[in-house]
Amino acid sequence: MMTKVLKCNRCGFCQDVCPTYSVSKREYDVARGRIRLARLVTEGSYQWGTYQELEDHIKSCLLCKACVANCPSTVLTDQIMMEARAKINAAKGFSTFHKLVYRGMLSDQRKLRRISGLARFYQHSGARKLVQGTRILGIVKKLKRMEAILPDLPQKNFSQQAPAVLKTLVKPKYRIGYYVGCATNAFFSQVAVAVTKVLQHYGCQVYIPEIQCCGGPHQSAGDFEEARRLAKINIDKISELSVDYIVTDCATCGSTIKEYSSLLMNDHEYARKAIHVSSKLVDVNDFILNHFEISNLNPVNIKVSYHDPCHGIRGLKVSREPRRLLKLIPGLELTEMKQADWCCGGAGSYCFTNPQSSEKILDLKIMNFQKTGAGILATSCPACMMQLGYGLKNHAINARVLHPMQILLQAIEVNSNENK
Amino acid sequence: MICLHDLYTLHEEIKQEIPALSLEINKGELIVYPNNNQEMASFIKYCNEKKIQVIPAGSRTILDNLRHGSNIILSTARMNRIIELAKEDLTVTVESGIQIKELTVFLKQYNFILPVSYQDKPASTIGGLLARDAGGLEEYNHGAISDYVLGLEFVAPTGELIKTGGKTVKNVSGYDFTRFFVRSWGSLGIITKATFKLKPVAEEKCLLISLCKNPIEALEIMEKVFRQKFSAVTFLGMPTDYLGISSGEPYVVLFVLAGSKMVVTKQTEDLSKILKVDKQVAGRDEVDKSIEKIYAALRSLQLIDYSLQMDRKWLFTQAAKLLSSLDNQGVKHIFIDAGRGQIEIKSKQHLPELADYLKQTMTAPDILYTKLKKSLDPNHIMAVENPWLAEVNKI
Amino acid sequence: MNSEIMGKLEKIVGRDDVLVSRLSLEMYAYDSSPFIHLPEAVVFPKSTAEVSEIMKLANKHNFKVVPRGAGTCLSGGAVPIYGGIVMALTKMDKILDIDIVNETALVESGVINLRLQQALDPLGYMFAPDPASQKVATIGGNVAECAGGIKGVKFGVTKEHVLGMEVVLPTGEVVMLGKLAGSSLSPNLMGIFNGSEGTLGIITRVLVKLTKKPEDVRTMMAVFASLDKAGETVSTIISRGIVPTTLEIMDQTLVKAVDDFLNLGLPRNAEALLLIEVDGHEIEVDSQIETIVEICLEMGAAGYKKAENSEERESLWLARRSGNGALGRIKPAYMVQDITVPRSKLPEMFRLINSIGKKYSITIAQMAHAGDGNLHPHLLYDPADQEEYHRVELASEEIFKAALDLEGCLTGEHGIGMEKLKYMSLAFSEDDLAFKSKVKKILDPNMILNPGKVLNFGPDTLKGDA
Repeated sequence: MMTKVLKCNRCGFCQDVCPTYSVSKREYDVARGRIRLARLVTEGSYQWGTYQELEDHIKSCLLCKACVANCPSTVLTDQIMMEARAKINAAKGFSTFHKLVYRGMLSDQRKLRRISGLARFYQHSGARKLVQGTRILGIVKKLKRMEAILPDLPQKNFSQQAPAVLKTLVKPKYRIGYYVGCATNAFFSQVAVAVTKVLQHYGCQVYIPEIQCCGGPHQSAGDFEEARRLAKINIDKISELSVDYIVTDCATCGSTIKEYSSLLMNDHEYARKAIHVSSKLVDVNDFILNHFEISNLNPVNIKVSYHDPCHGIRGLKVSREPRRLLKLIPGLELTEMKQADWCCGGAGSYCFTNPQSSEKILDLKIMNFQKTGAGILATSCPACMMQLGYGLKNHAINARVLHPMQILLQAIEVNSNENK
Repeated sequence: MICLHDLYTLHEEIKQEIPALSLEINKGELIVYPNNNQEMASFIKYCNEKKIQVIPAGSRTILDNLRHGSNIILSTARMNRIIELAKEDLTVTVESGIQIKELTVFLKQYNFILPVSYQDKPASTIGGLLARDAGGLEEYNHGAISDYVLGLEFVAPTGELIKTGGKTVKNVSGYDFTRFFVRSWGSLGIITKATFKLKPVAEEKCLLISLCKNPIEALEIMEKVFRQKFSAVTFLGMPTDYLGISSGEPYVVLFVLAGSKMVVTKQTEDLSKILKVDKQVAGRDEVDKSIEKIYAALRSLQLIDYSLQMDRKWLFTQAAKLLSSLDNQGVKHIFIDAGRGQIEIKSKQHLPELADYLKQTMTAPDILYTKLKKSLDPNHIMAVENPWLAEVNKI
Repeated sequence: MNSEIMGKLEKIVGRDDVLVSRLSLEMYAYDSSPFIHLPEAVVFPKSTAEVSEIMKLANKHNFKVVPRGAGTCLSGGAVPIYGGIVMALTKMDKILDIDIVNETALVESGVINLRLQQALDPLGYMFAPDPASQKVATIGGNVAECAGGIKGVKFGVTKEHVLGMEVVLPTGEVVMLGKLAGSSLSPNLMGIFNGSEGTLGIITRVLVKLTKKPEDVRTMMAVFASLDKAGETVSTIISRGIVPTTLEIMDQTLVKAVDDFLNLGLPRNAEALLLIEVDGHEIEVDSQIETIVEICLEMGAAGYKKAENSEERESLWLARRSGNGALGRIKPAYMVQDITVPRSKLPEMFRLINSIGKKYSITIAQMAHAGDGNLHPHLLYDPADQEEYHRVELASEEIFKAALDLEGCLTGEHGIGMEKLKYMSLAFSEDDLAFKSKVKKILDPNMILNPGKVLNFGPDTLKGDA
């Protein structure tokens, strides 16, 4: 950590691109300040886990990598922050929220399914109104906020819908392993359906491996131990498949899996396997655009603006692909918003843990979107979709959040009733 | 104020103290001519010790008609050398008594300019131009003289010879006092030497003249041209008489375009499309000469000069009212410099309606100046007779 | 600083805009220089009136005040070396007026340079000063440090683009200066605040001059077998009457480091690379760049490349901009100097720096804003090697002396700050320094505004962490 921290010569250029700094204008909310804090601790002036303030500043980073991409000295702020969080965890133990949500829910697909089932019941039955009226939900602030941000859940998650959607192709062009992440599965099963249908439309045989959470959220929270455990399970599951590519619709899952090899650096066998996995991994926009001739699409007369997920543009380095894909759809008008590559403030669970900062950053994003006059806000990450959907709802903006695959599917399906 | 008898006594005392100094008594004034910076410094040190008040002066193009009574004038007239022209660096170092026309002519041989116009007041010295921060006819494009000072040497009112700045455009070593003398009217010290950055002379110039009815119409034309973003360096309006053109129209607008040959040719064509051009003078030297002639004619008139230092926005939006009121009173000698945002009115009459505008240009010095003046010149010896600084002198 | 004063500060700016917690103070203990010292509080005023109140309070209770913009000073200007409060002006960030007819803009001093550029761009104007930090640095900071930039050769430095200022004097009085003064004949001492490094007053508003955006631009790169030749070429171009917007020189050490870093395919055996940009009217830029190509070849350039489109232009610039980061590949740290010499002395200065590097066996990577004689030699070292650091310091001092001998100056755009305090006596006579001190003492009788910068007042207790 010391070597990474020493690279910062405090030029301050990160102020220009840091979303948290843009809303607070305080030096502790920008990479330079956070790195300075990390340096003070590594030099022994302070100890991890002593000052609450220290922890707050380390945890207020979105890990959006905007500073990393713009740093003349290539300081890896996101990695330093994750390591710092791990040190804080080691000193103080995990937070209740972490134990409950990350290790409790996200680490176990079965539990996650059960809980999201409950949540769905809660949303669709009359229970929601009842609870909102009382103060039961107020017990844990973060959960209450979660209540507000969670999108309306689909009746069935994707695992339940998959058997009906998946087809067996006679002569597939490609054999594709589709990595369905937790959020897509539970909250945006319609995205997974769209991805599957699009892939099948272009002649791909789709396999859905039974995977665990990618471990991205755990790493962000500085829980490397759990992240490694999950990574190994996923590497094994994916390696079992005999496929040409692993496709992902989620920028976070994608970039996390891409980096498994450095996470498992000290484990030779798994690091090697991880490299193999990552060589097959591809973002779904990238895959479709570069492997098929996209033609004969039906017109979809909508105005779309694309939000770059942090893990898309700076993780997977995918940002032109979804735009080029969308532009191929006749009738679709793609308009750029200002700061399209700025974090939406969702940042995994950041929207729950740092609500104030998150809201302000989201406001900025929504304002930029609103200025385009577009009716569709497209993005390729379910966590962003959740946050952006919440933002649109909150600002009462008549627009929808869609994954590019959902739009492409509309253009493919002849009888699409979405077509105006 | 001191009487003539005292002046002679003083003359003798100074002679004794600093024998090298040249002195003369003329029209009730004792004029002191230091030959170099050391003499200048010794003399001021002496004045400070003896609490003798002096008025620094160059060619007295401005000060002369503002001052009355017998005084001690500290003249830079004998300090008029060009010390160094660094051709590769585009810098020139001169003593402060050199006159602007002389310097301009010298620099022109090497295709350089210090872009402060010499046509309006050719005898102005560099020191004087710095003390009032003159810009000149091309100020719109080139800024004022303080924009070109890289280094200064001056004598503080307590007699120390101080250097500030240097020979480079970029220099942030310690406080920058190169602009210390902007409109100080000689009250904070006397400049002995200055280094300026130079510009290459424009490859080409073109003067375009358009006749019109009156100053108000002239302003409308100027605004139209201004908004088209031409490479114009000068925007002037004046009565037709000064150009020696016989025409039915009483007023004219003058534009000078400057730049590379290609640009000036192209823009002359473009400008002719939106402007009725009645006369055109092409060629760099020809244009400079034409402007010089106009100002020579002007100087010979000997009229009261009212100078309203406003800004372009005021000219284009609010000046019309004043101009038509002047027109009603038969005031004809109205000069507009839209580049600088100023109007000059030359008249035999007293014009009370200008008082309001003149007041704006003649307010008391601010607290910053007052503080510095008090402490830097504790014995109150520099330029106390200067009416521009009447307010300070009350302290 | 006692709680009574804190209470008063909170009353002036509001409770939320006073930071006192230990870690917050750590965040305002530094700028982009190696100097670090904790303040006792950080305040964020929102108006000139608040700034003035704070200064009056500071005089009454005798605490020190250090003004700060984005905190990107390279010489320690924003570091509260004697404690006191840091006054961060980042909340005074409004563009108050853009006046196209007078070609001026009135801004609060906390406005970020880039934000102003973005506001002017659609109107066809720009604010010419463009320091490397322009994306984050504030206009107030640009003025207080008299920022330069790469376009300095054509457009000059910040002070040439400031027409008016509102300044709070160290004793709390507010003065309107220059074109904001409402008088065009009275003395105008605005100039002393240019490059005053926040020691003579706090600039709260600035009336800046706007410059028409050029119609077009052409960019090229030429390589030379020696730094000397590249330096001579720069002088020749300008003495032939062409004033490019940019003339940047990089030496072989830098070219190699950048090429290793970015794989741009730069000519690695070239001793010097010259990046040239001209701007102006559409119809003249092509012939200008042709003339420059001729001059380069005449001066023995080994090769050249003209950017044919914006992508090629971008890649030429990328090489220049990546310099600092790329040097990290050779040694973990560097000390960068900022000496400036008359343009004609550039070749000689390059030579001297190289021989000083050899003498002290350190690697010096040279880059220069050659058009205005501003050199940025990067003296590379390893912070773990104390002895090497010492040699870097000795070499720096020798570089300063060499520059002064060539009629140059200690710093072109980074400022004296604390970094070069001890070299001031090399550059100025006792009288010169005494006059500077006199002005400072007149304006700041209690010595409370940013002490320890530019001039050495008080105990010499400067501490660096490099």
